[in-house]
Amino acid sequence: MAQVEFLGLSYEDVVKKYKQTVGAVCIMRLKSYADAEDCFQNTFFKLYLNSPEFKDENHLKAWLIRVAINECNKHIRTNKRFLPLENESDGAVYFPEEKCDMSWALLRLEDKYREVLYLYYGEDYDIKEIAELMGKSLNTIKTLLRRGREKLKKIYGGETDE
Amino acid sequence: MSEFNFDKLKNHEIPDSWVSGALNVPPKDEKPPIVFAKFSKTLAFVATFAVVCALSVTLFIFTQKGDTLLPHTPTQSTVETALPTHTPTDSTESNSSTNESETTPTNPTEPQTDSTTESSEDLEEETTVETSKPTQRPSDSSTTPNSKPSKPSSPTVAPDSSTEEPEDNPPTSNPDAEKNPNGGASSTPNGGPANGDTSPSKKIVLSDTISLETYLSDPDIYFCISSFTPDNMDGGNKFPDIKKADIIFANGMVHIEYIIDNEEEKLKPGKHQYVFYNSMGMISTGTFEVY
Repeated sequence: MAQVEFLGLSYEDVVKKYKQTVGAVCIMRLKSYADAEDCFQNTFFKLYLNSPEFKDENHLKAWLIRVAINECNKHIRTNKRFLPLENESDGAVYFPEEKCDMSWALLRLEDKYREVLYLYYGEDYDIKEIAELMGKSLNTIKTLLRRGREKLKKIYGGETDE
Repeated sequence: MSEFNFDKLKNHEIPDSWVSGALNVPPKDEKPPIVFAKFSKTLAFVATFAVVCALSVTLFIFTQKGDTLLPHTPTQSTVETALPTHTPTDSTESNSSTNESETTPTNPTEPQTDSTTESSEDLEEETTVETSKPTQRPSDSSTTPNSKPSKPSSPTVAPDSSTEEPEDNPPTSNPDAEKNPNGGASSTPNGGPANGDTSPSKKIVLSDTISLETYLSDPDIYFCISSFTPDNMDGGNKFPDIKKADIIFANGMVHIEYIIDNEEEKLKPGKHQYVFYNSMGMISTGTFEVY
């Protein structure tokens, strides 16, 4: 494997540094460890094979998240015709219900809310950055955030604002 | 919601197998094994659709002009007219008449002498139709009060000329009748139009070396002629279908004798196309020329 550097980091360093970010995005999006592993590896393969130029590490991180989401969407599109087995529970992602950690509730939301809520609360991106990252307008992201929060409240048994 | 977090998801431990798999990058110069790997599905779909459309158009064109696809290349054919004594294999001569010669009524009492002008290029089987050429019209018009102008008349004029003794069946007083062996009414296969019959019958004799033995057993084989002369560019069927009864197969030759008894069916000088059909469609085609 030829030596490739990204902002002074070797490919291996980049994988180790951003494995949590990319892994969380893939798990959050696919809710399956086996599928998430494929997309996780494909994301870093694309980084290595394309070797894009990055302005800074934020740019590199955003690029990885964007590519990871695209890989997950591509994986879903490709496999949407295959229904999962009913008893298949080995590869499914499961988080125990806790009071403060909303990871288990996040997995019960629809995909469009899940991505926005995770990027906003999990990765601490602001609305403008999320809009650029997902290629959507600011208002769309605001609406998705608001509706996602309402759905989370419903999951926790709270009352919605509307 | 500030007290809430996604720590379990965010700090989920990534297995080492994921990392080792990500580090095991395939070589950069690896080519995709599939041709369409470089293209998106949309491009592949568009390309496939374009190919299918092109093939459909090509198939349609070849269906319309199927004669070009046929392997058979017929030899030069000739058309003879009014050959009562003509044998099927004896069709190398090309004597034909035009519509104008048939449609222009002539005076039966006036001898027709223009056949001598045709004798240089025509052989002995010259038709009686050709005896009434436009070159003779001025003399005819001078003696016949109801004669038409020298311009070729429409085919509908022909039936009207029944009372005027068409040139195919000249009276016995016509000197050309002795000179032209084809002019004799008794030698016409149909027989009917000979003695004073008003219908100007002519016979098309078309010979060609078409290998149609395999179609001999096909009762549905038929034949038609399409006209492509400048006067008739529509290319439609000029003749009604000639059934198998009119087609003679002998020694690999196809010989067709067809009696023209309708003015509208007469062929104009120029190139024409003939086509053999059977129940499966067109099986052979070729061109012949009427002089």
